[in-house]
Amino acid sequence: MIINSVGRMIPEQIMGYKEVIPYQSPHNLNPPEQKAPGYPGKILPGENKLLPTIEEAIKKCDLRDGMTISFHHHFRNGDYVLNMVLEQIAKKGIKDLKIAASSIFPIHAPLLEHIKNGTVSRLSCNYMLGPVAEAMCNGAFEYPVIFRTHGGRDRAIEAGEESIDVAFIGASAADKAGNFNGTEGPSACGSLGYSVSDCMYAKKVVVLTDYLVPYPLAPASVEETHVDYVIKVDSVGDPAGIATGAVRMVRDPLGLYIAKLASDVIDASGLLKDGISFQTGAGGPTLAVAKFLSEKMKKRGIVGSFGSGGITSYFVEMLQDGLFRYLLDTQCFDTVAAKSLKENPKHIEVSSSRYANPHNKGCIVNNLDVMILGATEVDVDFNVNVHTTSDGIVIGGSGGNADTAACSKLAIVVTPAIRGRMPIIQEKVLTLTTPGETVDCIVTDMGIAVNPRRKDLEEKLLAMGLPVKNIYDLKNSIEKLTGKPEKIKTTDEVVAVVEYRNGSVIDVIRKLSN
Amino acid sequence: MKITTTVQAGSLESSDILITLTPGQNEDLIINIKSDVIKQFGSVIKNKIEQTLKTFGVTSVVCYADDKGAMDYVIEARVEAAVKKALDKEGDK
Repeated sequence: MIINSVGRMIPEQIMGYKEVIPYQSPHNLNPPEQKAPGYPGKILPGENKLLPTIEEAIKKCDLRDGMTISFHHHFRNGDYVLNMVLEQIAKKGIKDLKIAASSIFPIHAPLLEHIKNGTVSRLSCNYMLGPVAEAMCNGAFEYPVIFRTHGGRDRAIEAGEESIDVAFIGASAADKAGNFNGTEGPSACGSLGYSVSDCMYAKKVVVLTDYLVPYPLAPASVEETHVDYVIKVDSVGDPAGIATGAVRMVRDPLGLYIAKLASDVIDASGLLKDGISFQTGAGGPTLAVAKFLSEKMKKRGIVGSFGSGGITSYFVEMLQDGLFRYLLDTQCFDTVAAKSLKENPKHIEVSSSRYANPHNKGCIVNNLDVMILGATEVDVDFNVNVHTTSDGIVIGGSGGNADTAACSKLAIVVTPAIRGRMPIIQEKVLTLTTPGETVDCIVTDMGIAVNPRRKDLEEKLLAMGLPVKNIYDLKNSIEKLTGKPEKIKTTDEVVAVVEYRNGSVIDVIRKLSN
Repeated sequence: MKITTTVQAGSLESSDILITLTPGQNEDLIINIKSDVIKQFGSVIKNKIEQTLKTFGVTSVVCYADDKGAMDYVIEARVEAAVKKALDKEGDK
């Protein structure tokens, strides 16, 4: 075992995983000298990329045992593509595949069957929710699952660490040459930002669509130069399923109070001025911060530079109200955002690599002023867990949590002090997603804790009369109400690796006892 | 005191607990708990229920607790309410 710089016990070797580099600090690792190669193709004039079935595409791509296939998650819990493709692959008797998915949702429960029958043996993703996640925690996978951050996934693909043989890309519209986007057609889901690196670096790229348009489709999320085959299917996804998973609107007074408090923190920080850039998570009260920030911006005539990340109708409204010059959108969290991306030229589709890959010549999160983070729990060192609930079940993953925290000027965790009966501040988080050294403060309904590294921020908050508390005092006053929870028991068996955005291992998830 | 009727107090709202008391066979307190936080607070919840039942002199009961993350004072209040309901109901017989 190695103990990394955030005090986590990491095995020196992890089955099926590259050489373990223990996490040391947010920006210490350098990229390889060169990125992985892209793959050329040769399509002759008049040659047809259109294939009648998925089965035909599997044959043409020469998909074999042990290969890696990839999927994006833009249809979120309405995605039909992953299940559809795996069903055909299983029928052909291909075994031992690795799935490189950007996220796994409850709708992907059939994946468990494919694990049992040996079609799939490995998985990597950035976020995981539902039956597959629960099964993983109880040891369903032979090889540990690899969790990455949104930016970390693109880094790994582009560095050749996550080498994709065939990318299966669901698109709400495509033409016969392979130009595709997510804004047109009956299954429009908006941005397809997570599919871009897959298309650029996979050996073969297969686009599935239910809406074939005459050539040329424009604008295209990815162009024909990167696409090998196109398949017309009955339906790629259910747009109604997009707004499930991370997205929860807050109406309760407590959530709104916390959100208001967070907006006051932003105000006190001095960052609330013309040109501000801003992003929120999609869960709990984090989204509601946008509402209160909007009010402040309107009142003072402040125009922000951009809002980024997963885009919701809140952000669309802010763009329409002239509160941002641009929205930079990797994925749409609801159909309002998808419609806006299609219609509003200031609403820009961006790749997740541009969004957060640390080993590019720049990324959007480097330009982010304020990030509002969600958390299932935090600890006295300001570490954030968005992977597991306090009882040890995986209900998410970093997504962009660790990426944005590492790069934004002000990273604020927004959370109720008590969830169910669980005190939100722990001695040590069960799973460490985002290191405390990248988190500036934690805003709860029982007070605000400021990272001791940010004395400057603490002074500003105190000057505004905000309820700042020492994190230990905050923890104690919460535990006075809830009591002290018993520790969750895990075995030594590693079921997942939590890879930090730079490719180091920040934590592992261990199988639960019983 | 034996509980001789079936009563409920509480709800299944978040942060509440639904307490159901039914007559027991023997002179003891049987407590069944279902909870979202059973792993972290199972024994705390059980102790609180048992202690509250004893405080009100209950010696025989089967208690079902469906917990949605209630804090100690809520558990105490719901158990107390359930016991008092049971006593009321008995008075009506």
